[in-house]
Amino acid sequence: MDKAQQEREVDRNYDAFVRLLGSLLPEHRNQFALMRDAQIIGFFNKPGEANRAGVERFPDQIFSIQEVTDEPIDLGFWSHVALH
Amino acid sequence: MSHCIEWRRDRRHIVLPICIVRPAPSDLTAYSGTALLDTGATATGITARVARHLDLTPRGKRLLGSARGEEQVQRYLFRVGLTPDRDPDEPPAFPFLFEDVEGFELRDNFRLDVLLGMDVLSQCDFQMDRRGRCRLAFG
Repeated sequence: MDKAQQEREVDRNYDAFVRLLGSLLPEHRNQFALMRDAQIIGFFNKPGEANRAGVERFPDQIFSIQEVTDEPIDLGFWSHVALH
Repeated sequence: MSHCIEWRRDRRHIVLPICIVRPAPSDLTAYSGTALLDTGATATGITARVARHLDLTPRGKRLLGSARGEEQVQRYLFRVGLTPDRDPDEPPAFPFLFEDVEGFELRDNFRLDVLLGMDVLSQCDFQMDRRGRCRLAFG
């Protein structure tokens, strides 16, 4: 897999996902969206299900997965070790 | 079948041995390290060195909240493995693997390897007493 291409795919899909998030939350909150080319391919209840579907569908392994949530991760005291 | 680990925590933290495995349906390449149990963390994180060791692929992004505001962090899929206790005369046990989690990347200055958050801990029964004895049941 081309890692640079995958990173660009993650960024592009994330930008599209953020724009769509408000409309997705009512029906898909806490599900996992499989994305490719800034499009949502499907929704899954578990991240592993979305990953397996992506691996099967895209032989080049270029895809991303976004959790449908508007809640940020909270690490409490340890938040500083995740921020760059 | 339920499994458990019993151990004694140190004075300040609750740490335990852990292994991180590439996501299904990949191989069983694993990184063995140490995790900090953190009921204050909503999700599980791995350091960048663990992600590099396993050659994990970034699969998404999510906002992480802190006192400094919100920032985007990389997310990876991986499996968390815990090796259950066994009798000394039993053969070595394989780790119990939880389902894939979508965790996030920690900076390498985190002194341990994994921050084990509530996404995994909520699948376990956890006990700790005032003498420092801890017990984690799962599976």
